[in-house]
Amino acid sequence: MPTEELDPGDGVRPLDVDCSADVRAVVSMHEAHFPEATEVRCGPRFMTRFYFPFLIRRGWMGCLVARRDGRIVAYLTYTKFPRRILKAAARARPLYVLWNVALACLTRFDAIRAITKHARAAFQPSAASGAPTIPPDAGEVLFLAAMPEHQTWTPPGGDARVTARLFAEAQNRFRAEGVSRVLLVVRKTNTASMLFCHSMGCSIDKTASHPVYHHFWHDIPEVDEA
Amino acid sequence: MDRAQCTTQLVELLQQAVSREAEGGGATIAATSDLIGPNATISSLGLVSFIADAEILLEEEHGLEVTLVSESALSRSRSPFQSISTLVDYIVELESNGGGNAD
Repeated sequence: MPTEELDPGDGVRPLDVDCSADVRAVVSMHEAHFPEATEVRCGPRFMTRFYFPFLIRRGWMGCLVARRDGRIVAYLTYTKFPRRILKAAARARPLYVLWNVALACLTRFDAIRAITKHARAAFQPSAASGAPTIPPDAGEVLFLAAMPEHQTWTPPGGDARVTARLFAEAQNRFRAEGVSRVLLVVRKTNTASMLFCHSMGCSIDKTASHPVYHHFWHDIPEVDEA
Repeated sequence: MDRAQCTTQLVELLQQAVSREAEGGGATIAATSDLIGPNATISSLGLVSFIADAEILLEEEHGLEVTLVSESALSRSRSPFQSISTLVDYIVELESNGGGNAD
């Protein structure tokens, strides 16, 4: 993932994983918005010490944050390893990943179920799980959330609202990494997210047949639209 | 259903939603104002609330019970949610199909 000089001012930038206050701020939002996510069920230690810093430093995941008046008010995570980010990390650093997963499972019973479910989905063929086939040049927007009171905010340096801006910035990073299609997995009951995907020009993958999720694809335009 | 009347009602409804979101301010809404995309007049959460209000309005004022956000609506090459005009086109289509979804 691209690295650049970090500026603490208002706007959209990559998360500084060396700043523990920023990591904790993103973890807090992640817990509030996605309580069912595997990493959330593995606990705050798993996220602050492993999930965000490790996956971002190793380049398996990217995280963009939007800062307003010095406070992180929105974030987006993305990866070049759609549907298999932890699997990719486990293959490359098996002992370290296993150690952190084991710690999470020892301290939180909920983590065992979450990890088991995640592992089953990761190793199951796409067709059997109802998920789409992933092309080799695909990426995935994992999570996108903004605090409700800041959703209409337009960050400096652009005309788009904060969520659309984060999406456009992620798109630029994907383009730089040679990713041409981006997957977004959205619960069928989440009308707001479905409309957001639709408004960003994503289309539903009709070949996927998951009972709980819609799989949206977004084709990255060749030119920068941010 | 009277198309012009429905358009006026939806424009008013969207104007209220935009004003609420902008805490009394907000852009002046027309039938052609963008509902989605980079120049959208309303946030995606605001749009959800507007669509829910629109469904209630259609049922109460026009006796039309419809679900506007559906897989078929989101899969269309020309989005029904582009503007009030395209949304009214979609509603008219749903009505001619006897309500429900225009699959």
